[in-house]
Parts: sequence; C-alpha cells; structure tokens
Amino acid sequence: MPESFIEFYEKNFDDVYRYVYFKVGNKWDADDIVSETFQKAFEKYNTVKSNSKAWIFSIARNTVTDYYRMRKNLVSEELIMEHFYPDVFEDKLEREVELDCLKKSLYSLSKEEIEIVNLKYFANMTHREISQLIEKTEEAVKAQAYRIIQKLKNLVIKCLEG
Amino acid sequence: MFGGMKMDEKRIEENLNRLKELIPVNHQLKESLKKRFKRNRWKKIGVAIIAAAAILLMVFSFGIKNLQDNLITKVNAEELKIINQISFISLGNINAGKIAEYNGTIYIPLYDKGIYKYDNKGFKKIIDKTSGEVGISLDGTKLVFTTRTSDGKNAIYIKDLKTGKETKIIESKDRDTYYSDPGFSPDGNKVIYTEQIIVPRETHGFEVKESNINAIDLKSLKVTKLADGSCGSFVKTEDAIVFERDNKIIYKNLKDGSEKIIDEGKNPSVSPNGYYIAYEKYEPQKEKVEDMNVTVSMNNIWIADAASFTTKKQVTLNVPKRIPPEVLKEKIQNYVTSSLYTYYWPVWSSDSKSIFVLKNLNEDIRGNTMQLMKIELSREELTPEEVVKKFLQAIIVRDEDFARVLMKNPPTIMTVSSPHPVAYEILGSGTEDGKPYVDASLTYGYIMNGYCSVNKSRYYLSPDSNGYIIDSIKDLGTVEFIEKNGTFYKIENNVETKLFDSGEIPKEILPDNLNAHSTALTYSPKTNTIFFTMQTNDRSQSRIISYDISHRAFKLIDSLENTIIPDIKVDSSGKYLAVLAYNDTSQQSNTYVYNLKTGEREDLRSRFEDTKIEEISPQFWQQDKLIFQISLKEGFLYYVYDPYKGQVLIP
Repeated sequence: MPESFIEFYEKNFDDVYRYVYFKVGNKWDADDIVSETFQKAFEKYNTVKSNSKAWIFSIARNTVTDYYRMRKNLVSEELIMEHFYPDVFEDKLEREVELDCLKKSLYSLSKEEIEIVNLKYFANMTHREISQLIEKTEEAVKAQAYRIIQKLKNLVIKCLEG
Repeated sequence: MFGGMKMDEKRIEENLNRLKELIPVNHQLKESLKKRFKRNRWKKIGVAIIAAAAILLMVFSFGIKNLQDNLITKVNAEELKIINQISFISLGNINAGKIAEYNGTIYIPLYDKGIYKYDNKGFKKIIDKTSGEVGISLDGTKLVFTTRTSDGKNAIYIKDLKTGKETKIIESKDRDTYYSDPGFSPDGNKVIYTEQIIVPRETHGFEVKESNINAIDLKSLKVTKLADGSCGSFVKTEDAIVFERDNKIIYKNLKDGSEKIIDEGKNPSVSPNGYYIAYEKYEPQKEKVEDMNVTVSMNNIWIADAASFTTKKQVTLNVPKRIPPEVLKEKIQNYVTSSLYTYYWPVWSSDSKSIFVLKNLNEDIRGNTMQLMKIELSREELTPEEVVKKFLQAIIVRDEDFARVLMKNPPTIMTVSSPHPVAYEILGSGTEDGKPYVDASLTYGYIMNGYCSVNKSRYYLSPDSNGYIIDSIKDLGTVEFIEKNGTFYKIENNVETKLFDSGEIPKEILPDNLNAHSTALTYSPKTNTIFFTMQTNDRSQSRIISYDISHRAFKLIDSLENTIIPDIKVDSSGKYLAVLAYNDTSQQSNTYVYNLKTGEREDLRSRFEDTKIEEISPQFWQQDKLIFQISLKEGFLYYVYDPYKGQVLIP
C-alpha cells in the first residue's frame, strides 16, 4: 500500500515549514509558500513515481524562487538575496551567548553553505536526499557539510573569545 | 567560560539542533491545510473505495446569444458547427452512469448511490434506488430508470417528478436477465428498453445469449419485441427506431420492418426533435512514429441524420495517447495504443442543440478522471471573435483538447502553470493584409499574492470548416501590478512606476495601527482600477480596496473579520468583483460578488438549498457572468452567476 498523501504531508510538513521559514524569515511568506508547496505536491502526488523528501523540497525551493522572481523586476538582485536568509532569531538569543555566536557565524556563511545547513539540520535531510536535490554526489555533500561545521566551529570560537 | 564544555563539531551540531527548535512551525496552518487535503481525499484515493461516492460533473458550456432559433430549421448533420465543447479535467474519480437532461436540469445516476438532480438550486439525491441509467420523457415530467431489486433481479421504474411516486413497470424473471437503455416514446405512452440474457461462461467472462429491443405499453404493461439488438430509441414523427447491433447503427422502419445501416458505431442516441443521431465510433488510425507502425484505436463522437442518412459529422477531436519513451527506445515494429480520451454515452439535451458525453481520461494515473462534457452545436459559424473567446476560456479552464481544436498547429504540450490565467477580455478586431485578427488580453494571477499581470496578444485567424481557426499568436506586451512591502507598483516595458504606499491609503479605510499586507490583487483594464486586499499580519482583519489609477482615488469595498481572501476577480466591465473568502473561525469558504456601484454584496453560498457545500470558489468571469465552482462530497459542480439578473444557473 503506497503512502497516502496525508501520511506524506504529516511526515514532511514540519521540516518543509522550518526550511522555508528559515529561508524567507517571516511567517506570512512562509505560510503562503508552504501552502502553495503542498498544494502543488497534492496535485502531482499520484503522477510522480517516488514521493521522496527530495521531491517535496525541490517543489519548496522552486516555489520560494518563483515567489521572489515575480518581484524581481521591481527590486534589485541584491535586495532579493536579502530576502533569503534574513535573521529569523532576532532578539531571541541575547542571553544565550553561545547560540548567539552560532547564529552570527551561520549568517556569515555563503548562501550555498547556509542552504546546506538548512537542509541538513533544520529540514532533517540526509546527505543522499540533499545530493538528489542539489545535483551533487552524496560524497560531495558529505564533505561539504563537514567543512561547513569546521568553519562554524572556528567562527564560534572566535566569536566567544570576543 | 562556556561551562567547561569543549567547543567541538559535536557541540556545533547540538547547537544547530537547538536553533532548529527555535524556528517556529505554524501548527494552525498545518491543521487547516490538512483538513483541506483530507476533504479532497476522494479525489486521490483509488477507485475501489471511493468510486461509489465520487462523481464527475464538469459540465460546461458558454451560451451564445442569438442562437436560440438556429436549430429550428432542419439542416444536414454535416452543416452543424461545433460552437463549444468544454469540460474540466483532473477533478476526480467518478462513476456516473447514463444521464438525462431536461431544460437545464441534469439527472445523474451515481453507481451505488442513487440518482441525483443537478440544477440551479444545487445537487440533490432524488432517487435512493441504485441505478446506472436514466432517461426522461419529452415533456420532462417523468424519469425512467433501471435498478436491481433486493433479491438480485433487475427492474425498470418510472418516477413521476411532480408527485414523486415511483412505479415498477417490469421486473426480470431471474437474475440473468438484465435491462438497460430505458427511454420514453415521443408520446410518453411506451418505454423502449434493451433486455439481455447474460450468463457466465464456464471458465471466465460472460456471454450475451440474447439481446432484444422491447417496448412496454405503460397502460397495459404489454411487452412487444421490436428488434434484435441494443440501445434503441424511438424517432419522433416517424414510426421507426434507431438501435445498435454488431457495432452498427441501424434505422428500422417499424411499418414494413425494413432496416438500414447508418454507420459503424455504438450507443446511438436520437435527438428529441428526431433529426439527428449521436453515437460513439471506434476507428483504427495508423501512423508512423520513428519507423514504428502505430495503430491507435481512435474513439470519437459522431452525428448523423436520423431519417435521410445523407450526412455524418465528427464532433469531438480525440488525440492518441502519448507513446512512452521506453517503447520508442525498444525499436518495436508495431505498437497498438488507444486514444487519450474515451468519449461515450452521448445523450441529447431536451432542446436538441447540445450533446452530453461522458469523457474518460485514459492515462495511467491512480483513479482515472471522468467528466461530463457538453458539446454545443449550431448552424452558424463562429466568428473570429467567438473563436478567440472560446480559446481563452479553454485556456483558463485548462481544457486542453478543446483549445487544440481551435488551433491550426497546436503545440504538443500546452501547460498552464503559476501564475495562472484568470480572466480574458476581447479588445478589438480587424484585418491585416487581408487576414482577420482579434486582440485580446489575458489576466494572470497568483493565489494569495499581491500580483497580477495582463498580457495583450493579437490572434491571427484563417477560415476553416468550423468557421475560423487560430493560425498564430503575436505578443503585444505585458503590464504587471505588484505589491511589495506595502508599496504598489505598475511595471510596463520593464519600467516600474510606483502607484502608492499603503501609508497613502486614507485612515478611514486602513487605520495606521493596522500592520497589513496584500493577499490578492487584480486589475480592470476597462476602468484602469486595481482591486486589492490588505490583511493584518495576525489575519484578524481584511479590507477589500479599489484604487482608481487615473483619478488616484481609493475606495473601501468591504471590511471583513477573521477572514482570509486568497483570490479576487473583476468582471470585464469593471462593475462587479468576485471574492473568495475563507473564514478563519468557521473554516468555511464563501464566494461574494460585490456590485461596485452600489456596494451590495451577494453571498453565493446562500443560493443553494439542501446541498452540503464543502467549498465554493469563483473560477473566472465569462465576460459579465461569473463561473464558479462548488465542491461536495460527491464531486465538483460548476455554476454560472449572472449579476445583472441576480440568477444562478447551471452552465
């Protein structure tokens, strides 16, 4: 018996939501984008061979891009990039020095690196799933994820030492 | 320093997990979205479980004025033009049987459920007995239907629609005797039906031992055999019947018993005026695809003259099913496939101007999609403007096969994605180097977004057997309207012009303390006005506002509480606005139509009686009439709202 759409939805909603929220930085856009993502998935659910996690995330990624692409004529490329990965934690971490440092370090990574962190840690994806999504080999993703953690570690240590 | 804890990779990962927990998940959205998918679950689940409940029902037609009388004078079948053929796709599994129609009311048997009535008041079960086939008397007062009795025998009943009384007129002597295709004689005194004795074969399958066309006199209940065959109908004003035998459509003169073959085909249906026969035809069509001999079993609906047999005309345009790429790779020599759709059980409308056809999509998707399609026929040819209108309507409702019919060289794939087309407008027409053209705009929108674009195109046409056909389309440019962080812009030829900030909206319309964003936006080219919503970020308040660009004037159209407005649509005159409103508290959708002059609001949900509506949503404006959809447990239904007359009609 194939997994029903509702089961699929239950299994993936939180991960997709966190991924999108972290990417766009506000609840309203996240709500709209996540709704649209699952609506698209719902419509296509029966026609795709494997309803994998990589599949729903590819829809989510495209939906985010489309969402901002239509505003592209209006605002500069730079401004669009600002929409990706704005600080979602804001003032929540003031008392938590360590987490605050991690947050700052995170935002100093490249967009591509933040994307990997988002997919791996916030969206709970495996290296293999990420590799399907971003068209790299599993080994390459694994290596890159490791390098990112190294980089974060060094950045956090620097930050904590003030 | 940090609790003596060593800062290593593991700790970074742990902290990333802690950060993750700080990213909020909107659980309210999760639940409400889930409800939506659960409600629509029947669309997606396998036929076995849901088939009984699921129905199709996407009848569609877009009436054209001034054509009322065009079938009064009889013309040959081949002279009839197809003026419309619209249905909807991907809307569910259904298991509807043979339908009947009278004067805008459609009777639909749903297997295992009973017979339903679909009219301007809603969708309601009127017969509890399960049935697969229903017919109606020429005066629309009585239904005749087949059913199974509790002990497994078969029977035919008549229901008097005035009194509601159901009367059994015949019951089979055993379980192997089946009845089908019941229909009234033109005078209403007899019922014609097929009686078949079907017995199981020893190994597998069934065998039709006998197939008779009988008539039963409703006064004496005397049964008379009229012919060997099936699917018989009387022909008005003639002492004759039309029926099917061995895949042939046969006309039989009852006076002298002579028979004449009209064509090869199945399931003939005679128009109530007695002029035409509609039937299914299956023809092998051979073509060569990359050195492979492909045979397509092509199915279409045809019409022929009932009495003169002089002419025939094909009224649907089926296409072959796509050949899977793996088949092409295998270098097979001969390949047999079917058409993309199967059209079957044609039934005439009571005015003899349209044919209703069940349409099944033969794609390998779980739960095949079945629809009810209406084909409108007329003596008059479509003008270039009408052709473009039909084409744009077909694009909006995603009726790919009809859109193809109207194009000379249709592209192989016609996809419609986000942003999707929501409205069209004919802007003008003329000739260029002797070639007729029509200018039209197509408005696109996103649901739940402050964005809309209007694309103008010129459609070049050339004459064809059906009137005109679209040769080519030239892009004449696009205007976009967009809201970004509370500022509204117009973009034309890559030049953006700021229209206004939400801060410029008068305080009596949008108070300062409301931190709001736009969820829907649309534009009326006729009145150069944009219509948009502003919704507070906590979703507690929504405003529907218009902005007249020429006069820089704002106007409040409505103010709603705890309501999300994902979609608004303005009619082509700019006088009426249709709004989809979700009430956050009741989780109920409503469709409102505002008269922009008087401010009056019409709640379309309230127009339905005894119909349990799950969702109601505006689809698009067909010029000055709103096409909207209601979804029920049994399926989706389309309706038309005429704001000028205040009437709800079925398409």
